[in-house]
Amino acid sequence: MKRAMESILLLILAAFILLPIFWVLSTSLKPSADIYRLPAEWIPRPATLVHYRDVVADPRVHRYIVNSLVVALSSSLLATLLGALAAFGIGRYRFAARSFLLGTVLLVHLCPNVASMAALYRMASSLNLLNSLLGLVLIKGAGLGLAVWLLKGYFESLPASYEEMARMDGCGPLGVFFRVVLPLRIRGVLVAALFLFAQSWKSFFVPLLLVTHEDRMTLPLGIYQFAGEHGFAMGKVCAVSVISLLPPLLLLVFLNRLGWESVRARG
Amino acid sequence: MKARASLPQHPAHPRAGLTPYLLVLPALAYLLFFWGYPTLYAIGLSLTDASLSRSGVQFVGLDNYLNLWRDPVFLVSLRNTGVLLAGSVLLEVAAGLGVALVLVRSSTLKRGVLTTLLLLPWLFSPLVSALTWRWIFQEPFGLLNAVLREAGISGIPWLAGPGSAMGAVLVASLWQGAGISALVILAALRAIPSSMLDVSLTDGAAGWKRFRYVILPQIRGVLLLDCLLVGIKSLGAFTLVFALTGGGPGYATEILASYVYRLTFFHHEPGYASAAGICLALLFLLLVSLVFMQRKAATLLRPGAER
Repeated sequence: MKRAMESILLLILAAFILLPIFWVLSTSLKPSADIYRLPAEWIPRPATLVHYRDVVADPRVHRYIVNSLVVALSSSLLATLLGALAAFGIGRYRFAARSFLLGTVLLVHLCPNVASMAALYRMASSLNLLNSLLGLVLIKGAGLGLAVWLLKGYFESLPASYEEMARMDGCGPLGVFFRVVLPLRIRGVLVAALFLFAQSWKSFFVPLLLVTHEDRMTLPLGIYQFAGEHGFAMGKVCAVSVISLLPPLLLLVFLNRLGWESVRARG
Repeated sequence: MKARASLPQHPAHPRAGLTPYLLVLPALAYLLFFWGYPTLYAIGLSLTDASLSRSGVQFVGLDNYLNLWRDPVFLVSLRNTGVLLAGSVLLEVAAGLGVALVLVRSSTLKRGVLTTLLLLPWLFSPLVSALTWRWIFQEPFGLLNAVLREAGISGIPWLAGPGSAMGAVLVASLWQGAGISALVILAALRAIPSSMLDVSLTDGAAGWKRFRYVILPQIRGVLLLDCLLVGIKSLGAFTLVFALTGGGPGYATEILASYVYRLTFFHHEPGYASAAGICLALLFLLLVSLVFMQRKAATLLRPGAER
């Protein structure tokens, strides 16, 4: 009886998670006429790749994807580098302001910038960072708190003897960081970088705030644009949405191979 | 965790001095510039009458804040923020706990498959998941109404009714967040030593009693942490509201985050918008300090503490 209840619970869960994904996939494969017909069909019959063909051939979509890749790559590199250095300082040294600094980083990480959007917009405007990929990179770079939190404990768990040996060989703190800690703890650094990449790839709010020019838009902003301008083009919107899931899916496979759970558990 | 216990907790750094500060400095300076400065700037703006409809900016003290309390839309969005916060924390933590309790006893294969399943919503940009749910709740072509019609019930314009629109936001939020909640809680459940569970069984504690007196005290800290994470997510759920309901119908699903956006970019009132934004920031702070005052969660996040 109890087993049956548990199975039913898991089934409901699976249906709840999968149905929306199924619906987007199904819509993206239907001819436009079938998308807006009642009664709605579950399975696309006939199925068509026409929306995918349209989307892949659309030069605007190319722009969006390239912009998203540039912003996500640069901002995750920047945030990982700054965050890893800070995590090295906090994780491997004991000093007076340690808890205070860690608490500050955590607070920033937990309180996002939605609250100060008017000020952020004005600041970006006066720095000439509106409609600029650099602006997106710099503001997304402030997500570095994630790297600090993920890597602090992970760096801590490196035996001190490695570091002492490097120091005896004449390495300064930066030498120790780049030649010892980073290579030996590269797995955790990669995990942090991949999470930051995904976060930036999926982000919508900051691009919405700072970008209005079509050729500076990132993919989520472009998808929003599509949904607005073609009120009755759900096929296209769903096809480009499905495409937007692929990089995070690839990242998830990488993350599983890197054993991200163990990095998180030690972080 | 066990490996670390055998290591010296305080590796010797005889000549540490300024080094750690210099290592943290770039990150700290970065955050001060791109987070601290806009926050201070917002506080400053909130004390002025900055607006596109007037030229010149004047210091007006706390006028904006006083006006907020007379602004019916602000009060409605404050209430909606509370509803979304309470609703999503309750729903997502309860669902996560239920799923985790079932999964922890499942076979390795089943657990593996379901864990992957739980991560799928994580692939979605908040924008894409909001648009997906808008398409599901759409009348008449959405999935939900298609299902209802097959059951003989005529379509319902979900996003056009105030109550059902808020329900839609909560359901979409649950879809985005329940999986992560379940995984966080599952990790904590799996860390409970099995000997502790066995002993409780021989002592005759089963079912609810075992949960209440053996399992719950062990995962209390993680549950609190999960409440904090879900709460923070729902306070900042701008994209979800913006793309799913646009705050409507009327202001029925407007939350503080979306109202601040409306004031900034539609009403062009940066001063007044900043005052509303500072109220939202205070809510973030209140939530964080409420959870951190609970000792269990505080020790969980203390530097050097084991997780």
